[in-house]
Amino acid sequence: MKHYFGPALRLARLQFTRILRDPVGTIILFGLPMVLLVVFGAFMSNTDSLSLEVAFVNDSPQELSAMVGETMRSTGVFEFSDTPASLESALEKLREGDLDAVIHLPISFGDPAEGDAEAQETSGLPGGSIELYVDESRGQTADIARSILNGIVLELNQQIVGVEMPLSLTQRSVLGENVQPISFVFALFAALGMLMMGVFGAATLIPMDRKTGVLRRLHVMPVSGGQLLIGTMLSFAILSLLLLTVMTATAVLAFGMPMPDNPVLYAGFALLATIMLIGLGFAISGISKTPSQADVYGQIVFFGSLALGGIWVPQAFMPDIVRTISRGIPLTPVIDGLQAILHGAPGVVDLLPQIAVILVWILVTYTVGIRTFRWE
Amino acid sequence: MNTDMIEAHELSKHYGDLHAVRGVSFEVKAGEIFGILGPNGAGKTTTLEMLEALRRIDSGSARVAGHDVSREPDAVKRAIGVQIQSAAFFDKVRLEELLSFALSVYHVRGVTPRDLLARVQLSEKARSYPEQLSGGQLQRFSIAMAIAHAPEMLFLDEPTTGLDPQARRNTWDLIRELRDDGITILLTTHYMDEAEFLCDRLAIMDKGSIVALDSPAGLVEQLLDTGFTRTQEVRPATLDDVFIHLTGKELRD
Ligand SMILES: Nc1ncnc2c1ncn2[C@@H]1O[C@H](COP(=O)(O)OP(=O)(O)O)[C@@H](O)[C@H]1O
Ligand SMILES: [Mg+2]
Repeated sequence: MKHYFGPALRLARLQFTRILRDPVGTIILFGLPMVLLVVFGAFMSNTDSLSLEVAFVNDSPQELSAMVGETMRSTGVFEFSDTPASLESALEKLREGDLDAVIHLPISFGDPAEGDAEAQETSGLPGGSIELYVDESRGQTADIARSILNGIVLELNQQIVGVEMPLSLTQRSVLGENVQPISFVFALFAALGMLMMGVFGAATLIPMDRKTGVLRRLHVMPVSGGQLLIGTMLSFAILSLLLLTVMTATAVLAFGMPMPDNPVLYAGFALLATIMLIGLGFAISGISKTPSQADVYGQIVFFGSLALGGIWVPQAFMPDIVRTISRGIPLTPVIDGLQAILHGAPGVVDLLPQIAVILVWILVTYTVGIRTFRWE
Repeated sequence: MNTDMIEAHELSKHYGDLHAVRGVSFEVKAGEIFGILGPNGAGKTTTLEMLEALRRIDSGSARVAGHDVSREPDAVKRAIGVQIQSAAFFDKVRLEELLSFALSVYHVRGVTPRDLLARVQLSEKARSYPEQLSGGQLQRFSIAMAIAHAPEMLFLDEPTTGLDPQARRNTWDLIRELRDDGITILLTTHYMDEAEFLCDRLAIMDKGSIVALDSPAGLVEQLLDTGFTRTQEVRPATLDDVFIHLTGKELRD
């Protein structure tokens, strides 16, 4: 045992040393998932302080128009631009993209004579229509302005009429209390980073060493292919877990992701996942004749995983067959497992389906990797 | 008592249709420098690699340092030191780290990387990377890696090919020192002067077969016995000697 793992550990150290001393590759492997996390993290933590810059053009002398303005202000979403001059100049600014929306209360707004004539007749209540101008080419901004104003209209109507509406809509998430969207993207990008470590890092290193004759030289010594693979796997696993640690710290400290409730489960699952993804790299390096071939296979596996792993197209939108395949590819259980742990999965039992898929892949990838391993 | 360090019997190797080594037999005695001399493509490297347990032996058999190569490849690997022709080492790993790795793989105690580097005159390069070495330095480092575990038997495949005259003579001196320390050496070369200067016995190999085997002097005797005479007058010095005389013996790298 000692005689087998001693040289394997020594090899791990050598491989780790060379990887660290030639940092360009490592920087890319670390950089891409980190950039994705930071960009999406910053974007998502920004949606809390959503604000729309609007011009409020109030031509109505009625008291009700001031109430509309107040209610809009109280939502905290609308930021009034300071020059509510004429409607024309406001619309001009909207067209130029300086404003997100223009809200116009016409001169007749709030006049009891306005609105549905028959209803007014009987009730004598004030009526009118709030005019919302948006730039339809910016669909999301327009949608947000529309839905918030709808809410305001509903609320004002209730106040004016003075009755509680019988139906209302309450939104609830199916996930636990402390779920934040950041943990979703975090799990995606963390899994992606670990996948890259395997299919780009580990997959090309061995064919490269085969090409330069480094493996031939190593083969002169009483060192086996298994020892070399174990050593190489350990060095990349350390790198991969380091990346995960940095990403987790960033998500927790900068973007308010809750710490995983069960750090031991988190670390253990990540280790298993990274062992599998590096094995995927070994399988690629075994079936590739040259480093550039390994690179091509790595890309195919990488982009295939992106497509099937629900990163571009959410799994809910996939056709049934594709969704079934998607569940079986190596990346999916890693994403799902990390998400489950971050969303408070209490123990190993909750992760059994994911762990089972990962174990099967470990078996497959390492069998292929060892069987196809060549020194030259 | 068995004083043969290598017994090769009818070794043969095919690469597809190419019969690269065609039934080669020879013995290497303990303590000698044995050379395989031959042109490129003669099958020298293939023969060596079969003996080193790096390449499967198609037919024939070999014992190296008392172990059957096919049956006990690991025991053979532990007993021998090997310098291969296209030596490449892990890049971005210092010489001392590579040597320390070799020492640990062979479970050697009491020898430091510095000791080995001093032996091949590379002490000041301990913290360099292999890719920073010159050709001669790299060959000497390869030898240091090969003798880390004090092997009984050392294989050197074209140890001086591509070196300048100073580095060549220096490598010759090193090889003789190792032989004087009791290491048996099997080397290949395609330089006549090297074979003549270094080897106690010599096999001349061509197109996969050994065509002659004797001491360098014995081979010359055999040739003279056939009535051969040299057309050019023999001079007591060569151009190589002139070059060394003018430029000195000190290593340039
Ligand atoms: N791995 C290989 N695959 C196919 N042919 C090879 C291989 N290695 C060597 N050869 C061929 O076998 C012959 C002997 O090669 P080699 O043993 O390297 O000769 P030498 O070392 O004397 O130059 C050459 O024709 C060479 O092209
Ligand atoms: Mg050769």
